[in-house]
Amino acid sequence: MLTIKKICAGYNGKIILKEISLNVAQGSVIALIGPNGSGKTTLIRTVSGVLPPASGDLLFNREDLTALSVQERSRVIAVVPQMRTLPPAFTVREAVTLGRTPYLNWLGQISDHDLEIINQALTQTDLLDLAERNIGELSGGEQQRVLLARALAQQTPVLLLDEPTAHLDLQYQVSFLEKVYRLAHPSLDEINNGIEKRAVLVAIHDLNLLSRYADQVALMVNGRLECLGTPAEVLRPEILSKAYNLPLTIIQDQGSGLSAVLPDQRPFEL
Amino acid sequence: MKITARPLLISLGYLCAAFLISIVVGSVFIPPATLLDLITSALRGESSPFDPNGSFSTILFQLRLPRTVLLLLVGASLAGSGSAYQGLFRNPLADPFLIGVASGAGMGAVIAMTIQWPYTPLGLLAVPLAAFIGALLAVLVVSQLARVGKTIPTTNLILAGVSVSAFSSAVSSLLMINSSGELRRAIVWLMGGSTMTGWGPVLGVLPYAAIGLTALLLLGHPLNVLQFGDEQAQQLGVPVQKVRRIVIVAATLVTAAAVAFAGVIGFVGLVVPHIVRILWGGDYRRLLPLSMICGAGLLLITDVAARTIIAPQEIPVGIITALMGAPFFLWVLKRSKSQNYW
Repeated sequence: MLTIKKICAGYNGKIILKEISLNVAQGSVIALIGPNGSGKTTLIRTVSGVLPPASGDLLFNREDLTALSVQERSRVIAVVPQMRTLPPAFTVREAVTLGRTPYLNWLGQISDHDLEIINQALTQTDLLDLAERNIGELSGGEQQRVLLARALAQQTPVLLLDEPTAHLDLQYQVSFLEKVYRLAHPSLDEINNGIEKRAVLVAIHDLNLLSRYADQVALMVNGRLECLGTPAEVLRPEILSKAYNLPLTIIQDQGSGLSAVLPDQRPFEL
Repeated sequence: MKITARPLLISLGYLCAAFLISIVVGSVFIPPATLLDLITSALRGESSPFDPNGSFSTILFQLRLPRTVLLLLVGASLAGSGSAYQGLFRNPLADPFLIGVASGAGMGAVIAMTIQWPYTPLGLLAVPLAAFIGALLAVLVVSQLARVGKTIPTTNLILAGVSVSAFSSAVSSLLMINSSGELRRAIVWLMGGSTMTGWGPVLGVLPYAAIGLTALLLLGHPLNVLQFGDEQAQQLGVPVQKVRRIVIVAATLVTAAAVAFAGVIGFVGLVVPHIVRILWGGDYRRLLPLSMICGAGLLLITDVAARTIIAPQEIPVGIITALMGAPFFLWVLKRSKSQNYW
């Protein structure tokens, strides 16, 4: 669905992404992992169109994404950005309504069809009860769900998320990632209701939750795609130790097939 | 984000009341009951029985009405551009006066005036054009000076605004000292006293205000999206650079026209959008039109005060807006950290 082909990109002439190639298929979640500064956010910014690539191709079903206008592109790709301060005076519903921007004229008139989609996005993210509250009054987890709902209202086949769980506690991390997983793997009911499978690319630091929610893991190191495979293939001590420059152990739970990554080295003597 | 009718009705009612007061109150009181008769008589080309020597109709049609319409347009322009700048810079303190745009326009206008006083048709074009160029230069310099990376911090914006403002005011003063005869008149004009009479200035402002304000009214939705930052706005499908350029040109155009014909009137662009925000929220599709209406109303009421406080002498209206606006500015500055309506 989304094809990233030999993409190079960077800032002020300094190349950060070095020939990244990655295919994000419809109905799959790819987790983008790697140490700080490895280029995860840069890749997401490049694919979203905010940062033009220096070379390489970005394709959506063989269509050249870089040839699309800003508005056309925002109908293909939606982004859940790394959470910063959000304008506090917007209500949740107003913020989610902005997700309809790709389909609105400059006056921003909302049709009944738009309202329906906004309500659906609010329902999917459990925000219906908070819809009339101001964003400034919400917790970090709720704000992050607002950003997800806004991206859902964009109704794009491709969804990019940049460390969406960074500020969430464990409970919210799990429920947030479950929602993300559902977007690529909708239930039969949802499919019957006309919900399409999406292609999801999510940059994430938490290595332990991956094995449950990601179909594939892409490991980036120094702007290169170091390793791509299923969680079981990539989450291996020899691969991660090298990437993160830290001796570590991976504990497998035989029953569930889930794994936990633990660093070996103590940072200081106790 | 519905545009409900109630705020619109309230603000329009307020504007109509201000308009009426502004027409009837002054050194000569025109009884409201005679207004309709004066107008219908004038339309029929007869003299009204209430007005045997024609002094009421002269005052009404040659002084009050043009002045009121001019200040209505100016108030709408200043408050409209104020809310647009606030949205564009994502900054509660952006105001055409505080960020130096008005002073830049003033400098441009003074430069044009030293060459051509605005009573010929050419002058009517040259002064607003020069004001527009001065204002555009000011806003570009200020936004470049204040920028840190991709954001413009509040303090930087104000500091850059103050310095550009000080510089262009100094140039204006220097030119006015050199220009002999009309000095006092220019000073009063620069303080926001509309000394020009008749319909000339109204016709001068009208095309700029009509174009600029219409453009701003169409930009409510993109400005809403811009509140989440340029990057998110682009990811939501807004052509950010294009929108920014149109907002800057439109807001600066109406500011320049207002300054060129009514002088530098500060704080209207700050006070009005904030009051509208507190009353009716920050949705720019609503904020822009309501700010324009309330800005016009506020300036008319302020002007009535300017005409009556020490009548028969007039205080330049810019002095009154500054007297009211400066404490308000400090209040906004203090609140801007904790406010939830912004």
